[in-house]
Amino acid sequence: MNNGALNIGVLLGLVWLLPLMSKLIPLRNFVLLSWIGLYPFVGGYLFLGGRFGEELGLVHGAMTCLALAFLVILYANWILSALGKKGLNELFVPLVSRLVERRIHLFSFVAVWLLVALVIALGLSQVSLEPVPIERWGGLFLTFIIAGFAITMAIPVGVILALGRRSKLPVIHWLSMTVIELVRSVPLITVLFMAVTLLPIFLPADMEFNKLTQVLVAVCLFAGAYMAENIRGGLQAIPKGQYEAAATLGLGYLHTMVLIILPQALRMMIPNIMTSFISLLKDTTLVSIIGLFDIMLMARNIANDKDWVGMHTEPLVMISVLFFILCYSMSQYSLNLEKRLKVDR
Amino acid sequence: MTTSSGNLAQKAVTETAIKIDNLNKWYGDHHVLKDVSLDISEGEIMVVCGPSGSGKSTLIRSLNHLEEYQEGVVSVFGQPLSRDRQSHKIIHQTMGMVFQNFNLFPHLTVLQNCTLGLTWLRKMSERDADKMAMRLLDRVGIAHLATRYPGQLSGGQQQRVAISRSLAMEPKIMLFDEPTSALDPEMVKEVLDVMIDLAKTGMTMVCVTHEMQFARQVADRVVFMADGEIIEVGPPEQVLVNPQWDRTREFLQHIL
Repeated sequence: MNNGALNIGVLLGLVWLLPLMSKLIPLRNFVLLSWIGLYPFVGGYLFLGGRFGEELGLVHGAMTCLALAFLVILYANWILSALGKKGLNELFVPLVSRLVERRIHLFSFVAVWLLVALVIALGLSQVSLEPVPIERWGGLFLTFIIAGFAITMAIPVGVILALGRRSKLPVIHWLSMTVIELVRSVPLITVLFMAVTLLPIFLPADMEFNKLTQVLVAVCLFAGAYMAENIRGGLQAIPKGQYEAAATLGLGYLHTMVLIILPQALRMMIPNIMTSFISLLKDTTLVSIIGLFDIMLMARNIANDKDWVGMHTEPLVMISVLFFILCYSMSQYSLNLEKRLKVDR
Repeated sequence: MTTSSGNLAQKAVTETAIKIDNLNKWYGDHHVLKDVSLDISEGEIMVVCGPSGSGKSTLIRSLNHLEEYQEGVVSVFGQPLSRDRQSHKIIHQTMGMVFQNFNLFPHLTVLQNCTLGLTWLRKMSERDADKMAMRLLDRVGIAHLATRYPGQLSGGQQQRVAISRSLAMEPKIMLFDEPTSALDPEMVKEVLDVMIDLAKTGMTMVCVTHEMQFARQVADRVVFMADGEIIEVGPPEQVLVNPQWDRTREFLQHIL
């Protein structure tokens, strides 16, 4: 049962990304954003298990339903548009257009979304999964969770820190710079140790995070600081004329950054960003040192098992092969991505 | 002769589009704009020329606040501009600009370059924005390249895209900062033709350019600048054919 939920969770994550490959889906950027913003709730629910309203908190439960509803609508729209019909979110347009005059499509989408979420909530409240405490998470799964989280959060955190460092407001500038320089000049291991041992001392006594959350925050900060410098390099390579052209069109700071500067800067930095991602994936093995049972610690414990005493080499070779496959495919993907984006120019 | 009041009287019927009043700018100790005053009427085509380093680009870039200036006032349709939000709004609603290096957005297609402002700032629907942009691209003769990226276009084509991108925001005043200087000679004409067409529509235009042929053909007045000062202002036949000042004569001898 447990393994089933876990597999479904991973599969759903992949299934969610599948529509990105189809040209039939409009606003594919939003699909990617929804994967970052909504999928973790579904994943969290399936990985943690528990019953609706008991182990599963109300907010988490509601978000899970919304996320699943989003996925349902996404797939329904995909199928409908392949059949040449209107999307599911247009269902309420005639009704909504009687009530409001502006943003009819948005309201219709929200209405359909909530309705589907309600149906899913009713369904989910009947199911109960066996709860799995976070402490029992381990193996390759844990490595993937940490690396995946760090990789998805690195870009947003990095962008914010990089823009902060270039900000003209002194407080934001110095704050971002301190974070970047401090985190970059300390080894990851010490950041991890500090997150697990020092952080609880500063937090109020009744506030207690589990070890994984602390590690995730630490890794995310670490990845973000490195990414910030990558992105800053990209930002500096953008000619001044781009800012001026955006300004003469009347675009404000946010529009200029999101529409003009960042797309170009990120595209330019793909090789560096991918290098960071690869080293991040490898760095996650360090969490074994603070006692999280990732694949590395699992491998070392094999040698201590009485059935496998002295088996030191084999698990490590196995892990090397595994990481080579992962990292090599990541670097091949980045080459491919570069080639595809270069066609545009 | 800093302003030409004679010409103003002729144009008194039309409104003043831009009024520049004693503009002064320093880069450190270097005085780049010295007491520049100029009135530009609505619908007027003003060509600014002069040797490099004379401050003509700085002047035109001061009009839409791409450059800061220390002293003086620029008014647009009677509204004095400052550094606040309101002024920025006036600038963006009334002025468009075309640059020497085109400054197109390389990651967007030609069409997207033109519709960007319409969809994000004017909140126009994608279909309406596309329609409007296609009309403008058609006007400058490059509608068939709408799905290309700027990097795939020639310089002249890129500059024409840049002009349509500015026109999409429906400005009342167009500023041209040496629009043909980065172009190969055979491409200059296609851009100038677009500008001449635009001039015929009654658009107020301020052009910094070395194209004297263009100045003679369409300019209402020509401004000659040197060393941060306006030396001479007047109709093209006066300034270009029969200049009153040695400095102007010298420059024209070099360029013609």
